[in-house]
Amino acid sequence: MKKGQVHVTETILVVFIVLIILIIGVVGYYRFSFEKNKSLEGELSERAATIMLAKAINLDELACGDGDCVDAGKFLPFRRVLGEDFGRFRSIFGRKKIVFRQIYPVLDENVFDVECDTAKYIQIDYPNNCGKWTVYEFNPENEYGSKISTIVSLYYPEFDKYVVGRLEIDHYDTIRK
Amino acid sequence: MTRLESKGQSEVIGLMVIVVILILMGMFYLGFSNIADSKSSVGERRGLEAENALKAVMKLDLEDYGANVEDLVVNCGNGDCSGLESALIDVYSVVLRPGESYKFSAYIDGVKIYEFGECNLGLVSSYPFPKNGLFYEVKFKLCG
Repeated sequence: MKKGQVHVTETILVVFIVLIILIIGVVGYYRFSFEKNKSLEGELSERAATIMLAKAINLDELACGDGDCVDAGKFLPFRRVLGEDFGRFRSIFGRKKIVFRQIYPVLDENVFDVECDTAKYIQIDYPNNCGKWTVYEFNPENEYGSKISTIVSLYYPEFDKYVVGRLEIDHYDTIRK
Repeated sequence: MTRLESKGQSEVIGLMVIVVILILMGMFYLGFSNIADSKSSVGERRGLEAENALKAVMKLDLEDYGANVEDLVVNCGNGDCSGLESALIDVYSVVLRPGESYKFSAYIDGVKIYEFGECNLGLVSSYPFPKNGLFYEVKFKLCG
């Protein structure tokens, strides 16, 4: 009887230890898996933003007729259309901020961060009076983002002039739309 | 219970523990294996950057030179490459990021007429254009 009790106690102890190991293993796995998924979300967001870099340059609403440049004359009308049909563009762009800047010829450093708008556009010193066009922005939860960019050819139809610009996309880690 | 039967029970439990530990190790391995590689995004962006760095500059109106880069390449084909070289230095020192280097080469009907820059391993983009009955091609290599 006593021997049997000892055997049963041993068995229970072993099963208990195995259970503890199992629980520690599962908790550890899910903790590391959660962290891995967070970094995966960031990587996927960056991948989506990289695709958006190529897509944004070739959008009919922004691209030049020959498709080899971005038409700066379309920025204001695009903003108007965006205001009227934001849902459609939100489903295309997601949680991002899309900015075009002129980088060559070099603008005065005082205007580098000045936002171009209708008021700046109608002034006589446009486009030298502002440094960036924010064509799209959606970040309802004010998340911190990562920035990627590429060089673009910017065309000003008002002056029939090509300059070198940079397309910057701030993407936010969450890939929810 | 005989001694033999109790030994058998211990062995089964020991085997069960080993199997459980192996399953846990397998789950950890699957959890840590990389699915999306962020380096591939960087590679794609570098390719796009090399292509756009050439296209954008070829279209650029250079007010200081009274011409665009295409015209400067044609002038270089006619023997005067000084304008092209100073334009490239001016423009790419601003357009490219710090630490990036490049090589700019121009060809007429497949024959190299001009080369500028130091860059060995990098991404190449090409911009062909016909002018005055000749076939020009510009190649741009982006390094760094």
